[in-house]
Amino acid sequence: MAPAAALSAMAAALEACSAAVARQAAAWRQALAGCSPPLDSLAGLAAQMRAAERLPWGSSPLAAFGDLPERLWRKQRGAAEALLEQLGSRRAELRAVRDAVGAAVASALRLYEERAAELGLEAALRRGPRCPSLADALEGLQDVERHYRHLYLEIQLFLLRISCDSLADMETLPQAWGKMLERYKEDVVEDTLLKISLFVDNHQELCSSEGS
Amino acid sequence: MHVLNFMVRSWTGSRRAGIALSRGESAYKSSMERAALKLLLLDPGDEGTQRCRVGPSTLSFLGARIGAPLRISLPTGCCLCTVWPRHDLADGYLQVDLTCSTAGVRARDMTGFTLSVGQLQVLAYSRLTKATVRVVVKSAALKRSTPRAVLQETIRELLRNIYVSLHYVVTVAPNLQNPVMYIEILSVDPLVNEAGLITPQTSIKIKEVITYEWYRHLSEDTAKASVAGLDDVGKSLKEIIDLPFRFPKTFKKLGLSVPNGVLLIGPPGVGKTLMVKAIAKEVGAYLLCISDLAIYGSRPGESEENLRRVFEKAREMAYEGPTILFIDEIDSLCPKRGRSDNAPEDRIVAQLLTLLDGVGSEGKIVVTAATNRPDALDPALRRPGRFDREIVIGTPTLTQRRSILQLLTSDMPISTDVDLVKLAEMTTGYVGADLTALCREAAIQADSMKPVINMADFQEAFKKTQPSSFRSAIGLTECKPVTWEQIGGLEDVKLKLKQSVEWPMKFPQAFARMGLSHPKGILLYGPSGCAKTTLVKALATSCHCSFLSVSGADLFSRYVGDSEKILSQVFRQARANAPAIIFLDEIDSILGSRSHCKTSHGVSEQVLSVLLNELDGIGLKVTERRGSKLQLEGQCQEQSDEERKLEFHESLNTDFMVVAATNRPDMLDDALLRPGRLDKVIYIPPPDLKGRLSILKICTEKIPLDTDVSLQDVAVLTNLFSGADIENLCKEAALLALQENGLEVTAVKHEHFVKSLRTVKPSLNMKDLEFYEKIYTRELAF
Repeated sequence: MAPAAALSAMAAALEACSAAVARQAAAWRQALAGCSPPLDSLAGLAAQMRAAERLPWGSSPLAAFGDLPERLWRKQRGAAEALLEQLGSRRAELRAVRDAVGAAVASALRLYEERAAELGLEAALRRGPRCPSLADALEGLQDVERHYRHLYLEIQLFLLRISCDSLADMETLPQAWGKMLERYKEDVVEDTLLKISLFVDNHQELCSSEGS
Repeated sequence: MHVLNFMVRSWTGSRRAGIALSRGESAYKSSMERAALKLLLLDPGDEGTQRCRVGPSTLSFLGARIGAPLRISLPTGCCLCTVWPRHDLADGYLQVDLTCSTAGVRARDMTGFTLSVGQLQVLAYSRLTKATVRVVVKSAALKRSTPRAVLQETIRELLRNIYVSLHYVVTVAPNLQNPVMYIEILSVDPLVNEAGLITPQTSIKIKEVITYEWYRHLSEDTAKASVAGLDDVGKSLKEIIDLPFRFPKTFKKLGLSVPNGVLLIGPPGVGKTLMVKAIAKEVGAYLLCISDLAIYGSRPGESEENLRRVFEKAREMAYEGPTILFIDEIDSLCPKRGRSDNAPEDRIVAQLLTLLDGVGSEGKIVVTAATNRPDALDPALRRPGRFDREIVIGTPTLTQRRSILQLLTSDMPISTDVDLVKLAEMTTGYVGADLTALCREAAIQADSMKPVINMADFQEAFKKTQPSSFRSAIGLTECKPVTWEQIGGLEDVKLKLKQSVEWPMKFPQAFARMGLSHPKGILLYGPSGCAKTTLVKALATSCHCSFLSVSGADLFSRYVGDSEKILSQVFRQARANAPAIIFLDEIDSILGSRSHCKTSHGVSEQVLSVLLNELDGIGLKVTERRGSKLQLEGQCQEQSDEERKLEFHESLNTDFMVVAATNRPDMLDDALLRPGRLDKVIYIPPPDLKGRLSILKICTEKIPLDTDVSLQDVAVLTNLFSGADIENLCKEAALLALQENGLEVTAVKHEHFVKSLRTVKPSLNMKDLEFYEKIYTRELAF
């Protein structure tokens, strides 16, 4: 009963993979949540900088401190850079998640590739009443991997575009961030994890139904 | 949601596949090969995943594991996918994601097709170690703002886990927000015919980065636009456009600024725009057209802004490669400045001039402009640095017309009796657009049942189309055809006219052989009513050439200078449509004489000076040139006999002839009558006895005569009668017959002629005749 053995092996691999993905998903959420405060601060900073630009220094009592605007600006720039650095470390975390997910998914897919002949097409396509097919599970894994990869790419480009030269853009950073995340729903990951757990729990069903 | 879905679904689909598998192998195989797969739209979730969805039986037929690379041959190209089962496991459908496909495969071309399973092919794959790509980014601004390292990383991420093949294009899904649109795979290592998988370990090299606009320009179909008959113009245009693109460094080394402006001048329809388009295609340059409609805006300053934007775009495109900026109908965008009422236009002109100056420093941009009214352009535009070269494209010559016709008819099913040389000869004054219209008309004429278009169709079409320059012509007349036989007597005058007008047009070789040039102008004079006008009509009929008749009504206008302009326009038209005859009837009323007229500021005097200039001017305006300069200078050594003959025809036919008629020859200016102007002066005498007899014969052709009528006697009696008088006499006699013998009369008797001779008096008298004779003898004495 070769397909059944292969199916069990696949189930084991998928279980490991989904555990890894679940771990990484938690890390991802944490890293994403960590991005929001610096972005909010950056927006606030931008508002400050704009206000400082608009201020008529000469007519205020602060006119006596001639280099005040320049020093203030330098300070603000420094703060912005610190925030960006913070974001950079979050990005590194996200990157680690992406790489870990990529590796886990790749190993699962490779295992399927190796045992595909053994499994046969029919076994891969068969669904049970409570159990998704192996194809569904693999497809879900691929989707998850792509989801993290693409979202990371977009976050990276988003963070790169931040610059102190366009303060108006900087002020709207939190909104833009939210909008971007909105397009990438986490549903894919949750769906897939559910699918895989169903598959892992119930894959014996598939083998027994074949016998009947 | 998902969970529910697959719980509800039954798996009958896979059962069916299993049953099918157990049947006879070969029969099953061939039936599967033919099995049609209907192409469906992709599920939104699958976009950008490089998946294709098929049913389980197709999967099992292909013998592919899930996720294996698959090449699909589509009607417009190929695409590379990974194969996945459909969620509902239904057979007979195919959904394809076009992430990786050959260039030119688009999703919108694919709906409704059906493919056979044989068009799917499972590929083996290998992991790529190296790949070289060309990246297409969305815009030039993004291209500049994205650092190379970021782009590299982006490309890496986008290509990861994607199967590619050599020369395939990876399309980035539009829902991804990044600067990259397409990634073209230029080379792969190891070089495999099958699919190559790009892994994180694959090293990707970006060979070049181009903008989407340029990519679209490159991938546009490169079918050559066909231009014929403009080879030499094309050569010089190509040279000036090509030089700066090919050898920018040479120019820099020589310390020269690159020529970057070409102005094309020519009448409408000769193919100026077509020419530029063809050259742009040939050189592979990006063509950016400016039309004045797109430029003009309603707010003040908007037009200038639009103009600046277009030049900015050209500059952007020039970073990518050679760019041609083409301003069609530049006369409307850049008219002469300085008139009081068009300050906004002046500003546009000034803006254009400064922008043109700015272009010079960039290189890689060539500005071309086309106009048919070079005189209306602002003079500041026409200097080197702005438009370095002006190329005049004239009305096509005979040989050019022949080659245009050859090109036009090359795709038409024409029968063997179509003689293109003859067609080219017929179509004097036709420009390329007119010839196209002619061919189209001929094709319409041809019966739909008939497979070929023959000469008769072309002749029919020729009647219907006329050269476009004639559509707005002044003095173009269509007269009832008159044959020489319809004019009685005057045999020697007819002969003279034929000699001086018809022969040079019909037998130019003979004239050229004898070293003769045909007369420029002919003056017919003689007493009124002696068939001067009719003679000219007969001349026009027999010559088959353009016939322009100008009278005082056409010419005189209440505006100062207008008459002169109209007259010179008539001559310009005649030259454009040569061979042509310009007929000036009653020339003495149109022109005064400088010696006779005491008040020396008359309009007629101005008109006279225009006429003298046109007849014997120093040369043509540049814009009226035909063919090219080289041809004018003559280089006909290596031509075949036949071509030389055509050249003869052409060169002799490029001219027009002026025929003037008057009955007051003494009123004409002496300068008009000297050789080179109206150099042939023909006296048309009143009809002599023999002439009168033949006129009578012609006039009474339709009048039933009694047997007692002796036309000979009538002819003797009608001394001093002009042709018109004789015609009148015949009418009178017929009328008299009706009056006397009632309405049932059948014939005119001799007495009627005699009676009417009493009332009809000759319009000529001896004194006048003596006057004409005197002038005639003076002519002879010259």
